[in-house]
Amino acid sequence: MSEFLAWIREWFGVDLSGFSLVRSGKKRIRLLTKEAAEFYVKDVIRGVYLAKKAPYGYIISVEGSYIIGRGASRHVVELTEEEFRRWMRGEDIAVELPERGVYLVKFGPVFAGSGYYNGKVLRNLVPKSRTVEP
Amino acid sequence: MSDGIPEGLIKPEFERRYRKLLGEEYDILLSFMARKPIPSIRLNPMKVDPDWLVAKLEESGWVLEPIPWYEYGYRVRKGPERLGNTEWHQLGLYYVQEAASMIPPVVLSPGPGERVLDLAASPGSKTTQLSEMMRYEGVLVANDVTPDRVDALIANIQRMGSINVIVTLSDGRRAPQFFGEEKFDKVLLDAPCSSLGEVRRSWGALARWSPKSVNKIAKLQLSLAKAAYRVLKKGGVMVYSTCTLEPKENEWVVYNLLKLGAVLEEPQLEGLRWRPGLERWMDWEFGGELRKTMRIYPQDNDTIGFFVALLRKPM
Repeated sequence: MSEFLAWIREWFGVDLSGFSLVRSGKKRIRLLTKEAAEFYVKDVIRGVYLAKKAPYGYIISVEGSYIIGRGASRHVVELTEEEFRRWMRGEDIAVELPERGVYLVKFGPVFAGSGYYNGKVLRNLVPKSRTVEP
Repeated sequence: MSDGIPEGLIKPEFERRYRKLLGEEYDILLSFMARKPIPSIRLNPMKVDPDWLVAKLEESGWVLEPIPWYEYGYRVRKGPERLGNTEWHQLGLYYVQEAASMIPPVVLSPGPGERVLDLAASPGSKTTQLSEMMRYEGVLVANDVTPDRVDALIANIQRMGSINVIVTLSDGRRAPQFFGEEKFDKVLLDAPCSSLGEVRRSWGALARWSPKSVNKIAKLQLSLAKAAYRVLKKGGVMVYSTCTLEPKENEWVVYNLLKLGAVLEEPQLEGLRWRPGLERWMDWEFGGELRKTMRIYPQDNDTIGFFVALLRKPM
């Protein structure tokens, strides 16, 4: 978990110490409020899925893009409305960005998950279940 | 056909009971039951500035009408056919939720920092509304009884970003054993019911209706309501609601909670038309206190039908 927190701090400039983070399986990380973490009850699940380990860092969920994106000082990409609509249909977007890696995607005040920039396109990491059917 | 409802779907006993309950208004009830409900959405103020989203939707040709009893609720007078297949829905900026279904959380009125239980939570429309009303602060436990129902609940909690929610899987009738006695400041029991109020969505509830099935589900509701009341702290408040108009599933259940010492409070909601609960029905004398409960008929606000009671556990 400390590796993830350090990555978030370094890559996006965000401190998540105000929340509780828990592992879910080998690769997934969930986020919840500290109060919800401390409440004793036999649960099925708590909070929301935030991120998943990937070879190039972490895939950030749609909800994670909100939580991290609001405080992020770097690696956030703003799309035009036309690009945003295509992004939400699951398409990759051709953009020019400063460096390879994971970016949070934004349109206006709205965050829309994350993508991996490979030097040519922003690869769409939004799960199909969260995209819009044509 | 009877006012658009297929022939044979209305059983003679149903007609007898509801004519007795509503008199001349019975035919108006049927005419509303035959109409599809007006689609409505609930905006998520925790993810987006509601004014920004309303402007964006209107720019795309949507026609929205505010729902008076919930500041983030809107009727969609004109919009896409599939409200669940838009960018904004998929990002959790709104939830497709019937206007009357927004009432129980508003009546419960949870605040940030409270400990709240939604005992029969799936699919999560009210859970996520409660979580947003709590501004993602405090603790909201969302319980349901079967794994498949819990899966739907988890998906909606994720989409709406409700980070103060804990999902549990247990039989609500055993809530005191599962959670402990007097654990929560507020409890919502939106009980499983015969769904007569939802006939506007599907004829199924009319087809299934029978006095026997109503009696059977009323027993389950009473068990759930008693369990919900036991996990409520002294001084705490509980909302008991259903989407049915059946007195046995509504006033009868609340009447039995009053016998345990619960005290009814009269909800205050702006812009909502509702009728007082019944003082008597068939052989039962519920008493004047039941007038503090809310009967919401489809024709009152052009919604599905609902029943809502606000109860306090004395100190």
